[in-house]
Amino acid sequence: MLKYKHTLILPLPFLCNSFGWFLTEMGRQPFIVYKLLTTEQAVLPAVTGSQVLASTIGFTLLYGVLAVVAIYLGLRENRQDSAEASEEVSEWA
Amino acid sequence: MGLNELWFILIAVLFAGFFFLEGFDFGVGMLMQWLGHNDTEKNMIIHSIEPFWGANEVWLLTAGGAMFAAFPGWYATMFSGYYSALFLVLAALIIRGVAIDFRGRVDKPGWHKTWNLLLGITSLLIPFLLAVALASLLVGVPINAEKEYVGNLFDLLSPPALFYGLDLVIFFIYHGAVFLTLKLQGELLERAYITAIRTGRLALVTAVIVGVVAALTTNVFTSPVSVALTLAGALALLLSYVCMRRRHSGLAFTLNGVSIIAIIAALFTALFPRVMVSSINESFSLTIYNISSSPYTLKVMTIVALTLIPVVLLYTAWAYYVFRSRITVSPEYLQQERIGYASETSV
Repeated sequence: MLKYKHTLILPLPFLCNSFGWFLTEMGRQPFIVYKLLTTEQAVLPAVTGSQVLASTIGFTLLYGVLAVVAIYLGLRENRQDSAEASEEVSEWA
Repeated sequence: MGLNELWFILIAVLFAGFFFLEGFDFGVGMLMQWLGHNDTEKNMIIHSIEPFWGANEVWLLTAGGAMFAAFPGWYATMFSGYYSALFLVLAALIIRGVAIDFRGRVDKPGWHKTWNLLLGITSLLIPFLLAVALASLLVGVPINAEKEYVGNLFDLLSPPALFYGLDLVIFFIYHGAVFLTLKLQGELLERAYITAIRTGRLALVTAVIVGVVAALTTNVFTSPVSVALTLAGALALLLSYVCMRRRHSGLAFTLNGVSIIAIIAALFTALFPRVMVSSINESFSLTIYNISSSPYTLKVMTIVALTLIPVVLLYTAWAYYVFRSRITVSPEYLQQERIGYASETSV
């Protein structure tokens, strides 16, 4: 993978975006609407802690799997494109 | 008519639009495995919805968004109360979208099989759960005096609800099959016609069964307007089936749309002026008056919506016009090595 050092740049925009969201969401606590409503006030009793935990785990797993698949596909496409590009170059030569 | 009533109607329209448009996407997703006997055919089937499925799904988001903005109390009670079910819907929506995109990207049979299976399962799960959720508004769920949902997932998935879910799934399979008879060619088209007729019969049978269930569990047969709408919906479905037998696909598709609109209208008419019925005590039900936004909010929303919705309808119609022709397979596609790479070809 390190043969294609330029691919290491690819995750950076996603990381940048994600960290921005972390900042927004964590920085806003303990409010859910800044200075007007706290997160604790906003929670409805209908949603239990176990439901939230289950959905958090669920989404983490789901996005984790999708991230792995997406990275696999991205690298694969990159390899194919590089192989095609070097084929074309050797044709001209 | 007040703004509360107007937005009640608009949300009903958005749900009806969603079911009409995304219904055939779900149907096609469910049918792909059965109707397509090889990879090329399955690709053709999915390509028939590829330009449309994303935009169609947005109608659901718009309905939810309109609910959030116009009737935040309804949004709060329903979306928090149905948390587990909606989590499943959301996960399924994500997986379905990814499946449509990823399924052609790797040329291995295991890859195709996995994503096709996921596409089929999620295309079934989402309409099932949405039908259960929507029907539950009228059937009634445990809501207490503080407008909070006090049941759990299994209160939602009661036996009558399962009938509603099944009915919508089967109707969407029929709707998808009718759509495919407009978009395919050759031998695949012949199979699509046969599938449409068979699933049409099934849809009629389940519609009658659900009619009985609805009579027993809801008040949809008490007011004359909702009775008329329900019968209109059933009649439209019957006529759609008759048209399909005579291979008038366009008319059948339109009649399906009429049927959906009539049934959703019947549901919301029977619901009016409530939005969620409480099974604990009728007076705990949410109405469009006790959970709505302020009049100012509704006014702003109305102005924005009425300006922009015509634009949305225009470009939607334009998209369907641009992609109106039937799916063909080009010779170059069949000769390609990476035959499964869906987004690269002219199919």
